[in-house]
Amino acid sequence: MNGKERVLKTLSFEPVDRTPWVPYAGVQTANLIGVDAEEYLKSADNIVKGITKAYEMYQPDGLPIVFDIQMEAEALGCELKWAKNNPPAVATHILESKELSELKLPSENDGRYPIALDAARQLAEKFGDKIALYALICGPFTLALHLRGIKIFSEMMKKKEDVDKLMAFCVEVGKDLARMYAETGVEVIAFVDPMTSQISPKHYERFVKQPTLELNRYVRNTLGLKVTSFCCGDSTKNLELMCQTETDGIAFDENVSLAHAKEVASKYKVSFGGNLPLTTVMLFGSPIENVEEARKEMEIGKGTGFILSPGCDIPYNTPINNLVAISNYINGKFSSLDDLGSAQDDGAEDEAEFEDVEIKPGHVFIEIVTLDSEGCAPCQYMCEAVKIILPKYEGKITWRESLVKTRAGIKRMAKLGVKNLPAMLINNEVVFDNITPSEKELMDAIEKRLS
Amino acid sequence: MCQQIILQKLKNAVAEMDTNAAEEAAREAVNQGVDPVLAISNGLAQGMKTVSDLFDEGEAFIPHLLVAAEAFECASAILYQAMTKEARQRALQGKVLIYTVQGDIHDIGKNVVKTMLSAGGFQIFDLGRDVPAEEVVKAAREHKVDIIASVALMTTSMPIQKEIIKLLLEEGVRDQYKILLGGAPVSAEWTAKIGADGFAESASQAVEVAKMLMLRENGRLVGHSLDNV
Repeated sequence: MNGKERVLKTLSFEPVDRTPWVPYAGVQTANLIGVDAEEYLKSADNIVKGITKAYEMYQPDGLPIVFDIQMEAEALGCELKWAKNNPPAVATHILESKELSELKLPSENDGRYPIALDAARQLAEKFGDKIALYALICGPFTLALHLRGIKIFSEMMKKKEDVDKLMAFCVEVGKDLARMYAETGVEVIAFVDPMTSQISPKHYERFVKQPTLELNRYVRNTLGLKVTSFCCGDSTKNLELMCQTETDGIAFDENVSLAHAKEVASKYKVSFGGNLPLTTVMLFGSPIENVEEARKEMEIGKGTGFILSPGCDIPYNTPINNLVAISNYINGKFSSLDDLGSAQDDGAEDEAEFEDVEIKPGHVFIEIVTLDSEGCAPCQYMCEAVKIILPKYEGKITWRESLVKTRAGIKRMAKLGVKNLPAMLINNEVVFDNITPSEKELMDAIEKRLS
Repeated sequence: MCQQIILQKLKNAVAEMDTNAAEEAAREAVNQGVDPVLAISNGLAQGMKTVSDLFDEGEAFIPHLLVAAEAFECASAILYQAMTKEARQRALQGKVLIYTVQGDIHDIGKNVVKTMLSAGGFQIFDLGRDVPAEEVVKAAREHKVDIIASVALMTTSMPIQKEIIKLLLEEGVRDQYKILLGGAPVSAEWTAKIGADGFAESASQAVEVAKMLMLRENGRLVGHSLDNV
């Protein structure tokens, strides 16, 4: 059974040989090929390169093509604010300056539609028979919010019909884009609607359920594809309603209890996916923590219907090793940190090993094991904490940062028994585990060892 | 009419997110000579607190908070007009400058906090979103605020919060302001790390922390030195 079959069967709520793995590698794939989010999302070639790299490194059963839920709003005239390491954000809401009747449904040539469709076409040709390619579409509610702005919330109470009209328009946008994507050869359409986590079940039922149902029926019945519903944020209260929209699968964030989601989704024979924590584990955790989290989730989710995925779009700076570790684990290739170390890229081969430092009396050796102090804020602050006190102990302290992103760093981490990152060791003993000490705490710890 | 009944009407109107009823109750309060300060603190603000508590419990959602906030703001504007200068001074808990950091254009959460702080008796100066630190310092000076509330909604924009502290330290005016942090990724650790004075996880908590900061005379979480940023 290959990845594509595994995902499609799971979305049909049929048993498979092992848990499918669908890493939502969106802007993180830009990092894989060394470009920023904007360069990535504005170039079909970069998207194809990035997804190809993600396919090679993460051994996925499925991948999203473009994780940018602002693309539709942009094509409809909203201005975006671009960032280097995040997807763009909607900066202006077109319906603050125009009437709904003035908006035209986007065609294949509007905004970045041609880029996304071209990338989808190339990727379907390249990987379409191997893995399930997810085409992501914003909405319907989140697109309505992008177009109208925050006013939509009060209109849901005071001008309900206006919201209904807007939602109907967003359904048409979604159907059109789903049809365009279907023509490229993708297998799964995923409607991404994170802002539904901010509304009550009553409002979901009143404004969102029917439009979503209409979209899902269109994808399943007219286009003959699988359809899933993504909701980043805490969607606990609306989970059951999401399952009632005739979707093939739901995907949810870390705020949702996986056990609860499994119970609800299984009742409706709907596949359920999630919910690896994006920041605490994937961004700031160690490879070991990531594998442990994946193992725990697979234990809870096991049985029919479960897809292992991150809670939402993986952050740009997520260490590649964390994803590789999960991928290896799920593919049965991972058994120890040494294995993980040897799975690193060839560039790491020539790196110097981190040697032990001899501990002399009246001298301390501080070692900070980090993901990368330039990309990980807690790591940066742990290093800064040491730099600040250095002048006070001139000649008495040797310190270094051991990056776990390198093969040597991973070996060092295993050798020292470090479980969390960042970690500060003094004389080879873990003293500050994942917590940056205050100046006083650090000086106390040093004094203790100097005396 | 009994003052208590009018206060209850003000509270209910906000809790039920009814702007017209809130404005009507505010006018009634003014006509009946109810102390406007009391009408806000024991009437409208209580309604806001009801909705905010429901939000914290997961029973109310963003739309409810925003529509309740609209009712609060419309009615409090009427009451504010009826206040004497002395009453306005008496009602004032403090002045807060609020903004979303440069590079971050998310402001739904910031707007909710703004209203809650306003309901809590603070005078608010809102600089909006995507605001450079230089502009914040300039506005803080101009409005002579007590608290600067810095909001960051993304892990990638959170580090920008330290810019404001760095700038205040460089200009030698750090001690003139209390720095309150907010936003999804913000934590107590981060607050201590960059030398801010407090942080809040929810809009209602922001009011409590802001009041605490106004009371606190000494003892910031960490010492102020450029080394910390």
